[in-house]
Amino acid sequence: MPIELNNDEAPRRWTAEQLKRRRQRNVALALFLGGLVIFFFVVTIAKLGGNVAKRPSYGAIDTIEQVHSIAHIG
Amino acid sequence: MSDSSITTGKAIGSQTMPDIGMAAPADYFELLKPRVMSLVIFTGLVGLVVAPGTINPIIAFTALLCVAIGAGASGALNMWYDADIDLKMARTANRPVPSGRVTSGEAFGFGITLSVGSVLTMGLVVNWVAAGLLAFTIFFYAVIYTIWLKRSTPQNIVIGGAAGAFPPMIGWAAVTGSVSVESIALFLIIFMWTPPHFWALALFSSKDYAAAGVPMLPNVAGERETRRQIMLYSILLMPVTALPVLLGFAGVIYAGVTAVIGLGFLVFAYRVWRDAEGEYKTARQLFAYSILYLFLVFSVLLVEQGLGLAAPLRAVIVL
Repeated sequence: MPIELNNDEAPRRWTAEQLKRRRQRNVALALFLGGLVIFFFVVTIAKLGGNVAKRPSYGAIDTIEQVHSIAHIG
Repeated sequence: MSDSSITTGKAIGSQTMPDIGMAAPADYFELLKPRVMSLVIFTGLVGLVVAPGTINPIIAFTALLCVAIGAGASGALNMWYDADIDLKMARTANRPVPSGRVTSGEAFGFGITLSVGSVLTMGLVVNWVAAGLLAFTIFFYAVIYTIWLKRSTPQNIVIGGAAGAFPPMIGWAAVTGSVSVESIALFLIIFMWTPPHFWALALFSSKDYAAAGVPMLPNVAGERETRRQIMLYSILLMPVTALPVLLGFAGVIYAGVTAVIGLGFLVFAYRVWRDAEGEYKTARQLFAYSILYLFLVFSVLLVEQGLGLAAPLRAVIVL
């Protein structure tokens, strides 16, 4: 929305063209940032290598061997 | 309908309207010098493909993306600093900064942000050798060439042309993590190609450069000397282009193709040398041919490597 100022001089407005270009810049920036998020996610997966979703995290029991070893000790 | 003027903040009473600028996304893209970026991406790709070893395709894409963004950042910083002389040249007067669509500060901030981002991303995702080379390339183009050499010496593009020669080295380093004699050879091809290419442009744009006060060789040493230098550097370019064959990472196809197109380059350069002063048709032809020449040299390297045909010439001769 254009801003109008209440004062003795003639009010100044941003032109429709200025507002349109600002919106275009904002959309482009949003798309760029969204693309950057996706890009960093894909690159992270690539750097971590294959089967990243199946890898046991530190301290978690995810493998049969770990379960058996703990059960044996218990 | 468009309004190309930037509304300045004007105090009215006690309130000031902030500027919101007139730049469209396309103007910011133009700051990156897209045509230069395409050449940079291509030569970087060739360096990456020709390098020994393997690389994850996503990491390879990241490396090329960072090279492209880094090159674009250099272009934006160049446009920031050279806005005053760009305004005086017909070829560049309509660029985003001299035309007022993008402010000087916006161009600088854009360039710095992309520079830092591309170098950091290259380092974190690819390796720090490639990132270091990219950082040096940006520094070399923005500081050494744009701020120092361009306005102070007619040898500006001879030395400054090194900035455009780094991308194949960066692509090579992205795969191997190092600099090698072979990657330096690729650097040298572009480095020796740059003077005849840009001096051909300077010949037929000499009036523009004179108006802007840029000491290009035709304006400082005269047309005759410039034409002679073009011929000399073209002759020097030939053995440099043969380096991939001599070093053993290019084969018979590369040798044959570069011999033929190299002869063409010499013919065009000779015609520029022998042409009359004030005649620029041959200079325009050499300029156009030089772009095709570089594209073909690197294309043949790419095709040879891609098809597994880069058998060293000495092996073929022995057989």
